[in-house]
Amino acid sequence: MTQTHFLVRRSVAVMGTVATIELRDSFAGGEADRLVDQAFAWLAEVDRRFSTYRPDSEISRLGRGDLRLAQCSPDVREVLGRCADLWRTTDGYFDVYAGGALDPSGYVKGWSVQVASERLTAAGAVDHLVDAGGDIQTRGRPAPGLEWEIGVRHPWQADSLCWVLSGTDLAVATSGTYERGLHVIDPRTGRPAGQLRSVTVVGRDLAVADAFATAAVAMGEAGMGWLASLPGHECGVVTEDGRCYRSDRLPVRATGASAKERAGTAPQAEGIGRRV
Amino acid sequence: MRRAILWLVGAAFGTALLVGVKAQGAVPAGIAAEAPVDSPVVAGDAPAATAGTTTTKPEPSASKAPAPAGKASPTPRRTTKPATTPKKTTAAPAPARRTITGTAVPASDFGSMQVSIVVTGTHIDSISTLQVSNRPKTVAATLTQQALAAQSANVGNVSGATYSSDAWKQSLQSAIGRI
Repeated sequence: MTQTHFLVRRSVAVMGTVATIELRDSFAGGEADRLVDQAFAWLAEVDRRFSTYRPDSEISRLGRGDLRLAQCSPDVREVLGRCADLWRTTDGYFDVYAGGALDPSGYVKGWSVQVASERLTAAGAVDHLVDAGGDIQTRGRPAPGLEWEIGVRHPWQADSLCWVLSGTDLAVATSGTYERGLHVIDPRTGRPAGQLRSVTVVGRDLAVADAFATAAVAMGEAGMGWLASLPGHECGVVTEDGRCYRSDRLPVRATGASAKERAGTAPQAEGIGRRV
Repeated sequence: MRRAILWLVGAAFGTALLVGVKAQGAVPAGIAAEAPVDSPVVAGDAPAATAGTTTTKPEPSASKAPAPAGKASPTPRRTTKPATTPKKTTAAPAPARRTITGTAVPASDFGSMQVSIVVTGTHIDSISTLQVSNRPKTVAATLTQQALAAQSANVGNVSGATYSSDAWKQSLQSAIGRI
């Protein structure tokens, strides 16, 4: 039994959702708090510059034509360049213009978390977790000898999980239709994609994982075959009609329900021990 | 493209018939699958037929499919005089029932259509359509299907579809209100 001993865990409403940062390293004085403050300040800055809900953001001005790409900040140019790459990688299914207006949100959230995580690592906080609205990047370990555990939400039961993933450096992104409805547009048809209810992609790079999850939702069931072929990425998919698929190397934690079922215990809805 | 598909359909009928005819001859059942020697479609398996075709009495679309050397025109059953029909010989081998798989034909950026037919003699009993991923394997082969089981959410961090902060704020405020 290990007691949780994170030094800082804080959640803040930002980017229209909730972000959480957790540091597990020891720091002198108020250094940990200062690092978390900086990370949240970064996420807020990303929101100001990239939000499609803010008419004065760079993205909104660029989309309206009030701003030319050359006038945008290096971050905006970098993000849009990466989005263009992903448009090719996904055969057009990750499309910042899928809904008509410029909207790189499917990349930005994961990217901003990833940058925050990289900055924390560079500052010496090598064991941490950053979560923005369910897109999660972990680094290092929560405690010596332990791995991070990330639940994947059950798409119909908000208080349940489909899988529990574990690992050290994990980027876990989930895209789905159950929170905000059919908001992912299939760029081939211009209509909302609805075959896949939840797509979780695990990789090393959260921005890419996020974009891949979004692209797979846009593809519908064909996206499962596409996901399965992506090197370096694992996936878990729940279809709208309740079928559940995962790649064999999805880092599902070995213990828990399955072990309990194997042991013959009736799989009840009661709490299942998480400790190894 | 469209023309190519039509042509494939035509070729498929020609081929299916050819195969059937050949099987009805003295060729032992079970070896005829590679029959269409001069089919120019794609080397290998018999080409695809597409769904929506009528399975009864196909028109002799051999105008598009290269009719193999005129003789023994592959339109059965039209000959009014069943001269050499094997109906008489009691020992005639029953037409074998075989499954013939067509080649995979690119249908979209992400996959191909592949059709397999079940034939008895010259009769197409059924057509089934497979969708094949372009990328290495089909989903079934690379992703494991499992039951959608609910585990308790006894884990601090959860990945899920992005949720709005509205409800979170409300709940947070209510919690704060109870402090």
